[in-house]
Amino acid sequence: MNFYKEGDHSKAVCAHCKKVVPTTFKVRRAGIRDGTVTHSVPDILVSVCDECDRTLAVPQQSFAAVAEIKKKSAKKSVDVRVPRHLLDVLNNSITALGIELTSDMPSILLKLFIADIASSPAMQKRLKKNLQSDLLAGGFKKQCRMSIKVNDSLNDQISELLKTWKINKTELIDATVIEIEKDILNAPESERAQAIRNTLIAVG
Amino acid sequence: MGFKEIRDAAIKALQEGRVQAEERADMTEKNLLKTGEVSAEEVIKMLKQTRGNQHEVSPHHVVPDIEVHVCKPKVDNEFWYIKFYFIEPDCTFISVHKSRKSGKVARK
Repeated sequence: MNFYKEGDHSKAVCAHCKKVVPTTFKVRRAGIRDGTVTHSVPDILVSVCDECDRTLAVPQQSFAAVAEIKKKSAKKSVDVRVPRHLLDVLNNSITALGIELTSDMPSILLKLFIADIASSPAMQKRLKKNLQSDLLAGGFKKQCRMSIKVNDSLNDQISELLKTWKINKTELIDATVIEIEKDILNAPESERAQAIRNTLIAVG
Repeated sequence: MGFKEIRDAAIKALQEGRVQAEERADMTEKNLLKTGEVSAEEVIKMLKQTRGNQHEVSPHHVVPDIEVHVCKPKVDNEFWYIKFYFIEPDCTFISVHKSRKSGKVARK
């Protein structure tokens, strides 16, 4: 397969210059319009007009990067508000495993546990009990917004859990954090915690 | 060039990675090849299934000297709309998307 490199030259139609123009391949941000939304694709190789500096075309080798952004944007999001101390439980669970805390790690950990809960009747039975935890008692404010991007499969599993156990999204996240506290934060050396650690290292 | 030469040249460009997609940030993207929703192999399959009466040529709206090719094949019971032109050595795709209309082109 042919691969253009930054600085290579080509030709393209420029709608602004109204002619075929020489172009140079440059690494730039490109926009993909989808209805009223424009997805931004950062740092891809694009063909740029040598005369007016406008981006004219995207080479075939960059299509995969465009696809990745499109795919990410197609994910659904689960938006909830949680109290600060529950985020701290998540963050400390991650560091207890000896893993560097990054911004997306808490939502990855939550997704791993939600998928586990969806496939484990025993964990599902603990959901309501988890909601009685001391960590969830009191008059605190839920000040922190969490937006968890999920694929169709996990989104379906979440919908099923909410329907089966008659809880809302916030309660599911709250109960899942309590499960994480018990399984990871309180037992970071356990076999299960170590298995989660390895998965987080691989996907985080 | 006749239709078969045009089709074969587009297929060759797709196989060799000598394809570009027009950047149209101000318009809803209609190029599913560019967004990865359709692969190069799938477009090759569509082009191979395009018959001569499902192909038409029109001048480029900005540079009329350039011939823009439109293929409207029927693949797996669905009509597709594939629009491209050549600026040697590359082939530039403008659109690759499904179409509700039949692919047959009226001949004069």
